[in-house]
Amino acid sequence: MTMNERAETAAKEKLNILWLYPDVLDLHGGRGDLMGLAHAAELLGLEPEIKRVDGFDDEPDFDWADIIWLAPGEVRCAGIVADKLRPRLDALQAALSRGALLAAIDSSAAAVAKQTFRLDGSVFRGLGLVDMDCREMDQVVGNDIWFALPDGEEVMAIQISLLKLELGEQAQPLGRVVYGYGNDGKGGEGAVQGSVVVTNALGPVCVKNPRFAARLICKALAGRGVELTPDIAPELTQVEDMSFDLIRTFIHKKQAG
Amino acid sequence: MSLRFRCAMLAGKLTACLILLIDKEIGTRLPGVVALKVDPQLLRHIKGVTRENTVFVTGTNGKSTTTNLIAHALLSAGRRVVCNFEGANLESGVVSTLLKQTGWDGRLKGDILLLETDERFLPIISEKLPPGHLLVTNIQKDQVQRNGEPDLILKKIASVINKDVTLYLNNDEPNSGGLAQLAGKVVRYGVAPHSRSFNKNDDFFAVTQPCPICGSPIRFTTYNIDNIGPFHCSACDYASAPRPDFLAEEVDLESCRFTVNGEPYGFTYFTPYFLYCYIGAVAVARGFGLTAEEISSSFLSFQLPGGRLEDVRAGGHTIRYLRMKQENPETVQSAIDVIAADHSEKILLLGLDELVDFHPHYTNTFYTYDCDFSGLIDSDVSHYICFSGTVAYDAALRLMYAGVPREKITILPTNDDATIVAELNKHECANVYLITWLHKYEHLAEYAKKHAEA
Repeated sequence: MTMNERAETAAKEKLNILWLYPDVLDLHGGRGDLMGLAHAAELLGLEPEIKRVDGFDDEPDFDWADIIWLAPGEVRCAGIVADKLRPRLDALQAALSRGALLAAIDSSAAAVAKQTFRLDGSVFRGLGLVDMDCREMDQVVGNDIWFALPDGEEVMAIQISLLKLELGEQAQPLGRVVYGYGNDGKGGEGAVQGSVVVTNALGPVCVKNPRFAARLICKALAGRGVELTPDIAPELTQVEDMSFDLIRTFIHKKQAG
Repeated sequence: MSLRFRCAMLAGKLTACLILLIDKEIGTRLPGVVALKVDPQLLRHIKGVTRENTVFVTGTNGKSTTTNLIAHALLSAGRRVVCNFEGANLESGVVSTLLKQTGWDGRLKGDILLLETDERFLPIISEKLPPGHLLVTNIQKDQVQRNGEPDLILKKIASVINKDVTLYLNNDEPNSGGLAQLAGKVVRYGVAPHSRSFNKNDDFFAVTQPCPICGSPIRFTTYNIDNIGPFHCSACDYASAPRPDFLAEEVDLESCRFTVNGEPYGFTYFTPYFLYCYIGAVAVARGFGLTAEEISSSFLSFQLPGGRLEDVRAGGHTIRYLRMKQENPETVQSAIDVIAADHSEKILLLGLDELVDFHPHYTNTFYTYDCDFSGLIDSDVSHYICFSGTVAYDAALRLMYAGVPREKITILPTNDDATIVAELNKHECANVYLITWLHKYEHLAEYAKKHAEA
């Protein structure tokens, strides 16, 4: 089946994105990822719909969602979000069990981790959806990050991290760092456990890397039996691809000193 | 006076003299760096400094303008003010300022010490030189490579506030309002909604920010500038005061007037952003006993440090430069708003570039996704030119995501001035706006000037 044929077939498919607490998780241009996800969905021939869950008293419709999105926010807010979601954890886990994808970006990793150790000695609990601890660092990690996914797709993004991510045995890295810091400076970037995905990548990562966004979408739709491959024709991503090339050249210059 | 302090003063003052003789461009901080090497506690030993006569101005945006407005008002009224007008706001810069404005005996040559203070260095400076008066302009997203998140800055500022401090707070800015409970006295200033106030009801992707008290979403009744306006928390009782101590009302941006508690004030810089600088200056200056007439009169003669940047002539084009600060969405938004207010046909030169403030340099442009470009898109921009040796394509992507058709964007993956001007010359429209870093503007202006002379 060609991409166009698949797009026509898939045009009937909707992609439902639940954007949790956008006013609370408000940092680093994170709202751009929602725009990027929607755009990538359109490139795949899907019909994206985004629903915001604004207030902590609003009930998130996890049953409806293919993708549940936690954008980057302040570290303290990740703890608050975890506390607000905890009473709804059963519904969230039911959605994850049927294959909905939960993505946590940057510091929002702390919301899905087991616990986060802060510099002042305090500790707050996450939802424990990923076998991972977060540890606040005394310096901000700010740099380009370039990493490769297990299938070889490369992602170019930005990292601004206050948290070091320490993965346990049940969580796997999302990718392998080609350049940059990643989780802890040891080569791993992000985390995957079941249908929960964590990444340090900003940019917005889904804008700069439509094929990364497409992979998230495909993983989410696979949960409800929609088989889709994340192919996007190169002529549709020329600007993104040239951005990648230009920044890769810049990184090579940095590496050369 | 200790020997070490005397030696530090001597070393610092001599360094300042040498800089004057050799090269004034060496920098404003060097005398302070040298003096602090000799006596790291130098700030503790300055004479004539008390809490009562010490004013610090800190925050993310508007520090320099607010500080200079306050200084100008106080000086115009005949007060003797020591101030770091040049914006040297790190510890070494503050020491450099004090070296210039203290005698050999270490005594301050003024009655009021007014310092713009970098928010990250505020705890270090305050430990040695505790302020009695602290004005916080705002706490916003800024320079994330070093600041990380607003909460980090909030904590640094909070660490210096105690019951001996009079805190001047922007009533319309949610983050800094959370500091009020720490201070002995709080003076709030704000701006009433005006003709350029707006809302974001139609923007699906609009986001606000978390409440500094409980973390729930903040709701703005209206925005006077981006992320600043009357607000309330959606969950707890945290809110801007309905009537701050100093409220700019009857704001007329055409005739440049507002009133505060019924008294008229004039001003000269008429973009809404400046209103908060003016009203903050009113709050402090009134606290030091100035009259409304004295303050208003000083505002009318006030000029921004460095003056207005000149328009650049390039071929048949007039390029108007709008300054942006690194990784600071509010300054980009202010630039966008200025352009959007001009409804005549125009070209936009957008020169985002890699960040070169700290190591490692990197290619962050995500702060532009915290900005709203819709006003720009609706303001008759006939063509966009994105240039940068690293992030030209990312800048173009931002515009495309704002709805600009690809064919209206030229992407130049270079910083070469000749290439940029050559591209500009392909377009007839004479009205050109430029958003980029200051150093790039200076390069381009120099090139255009030479080119015109040739």
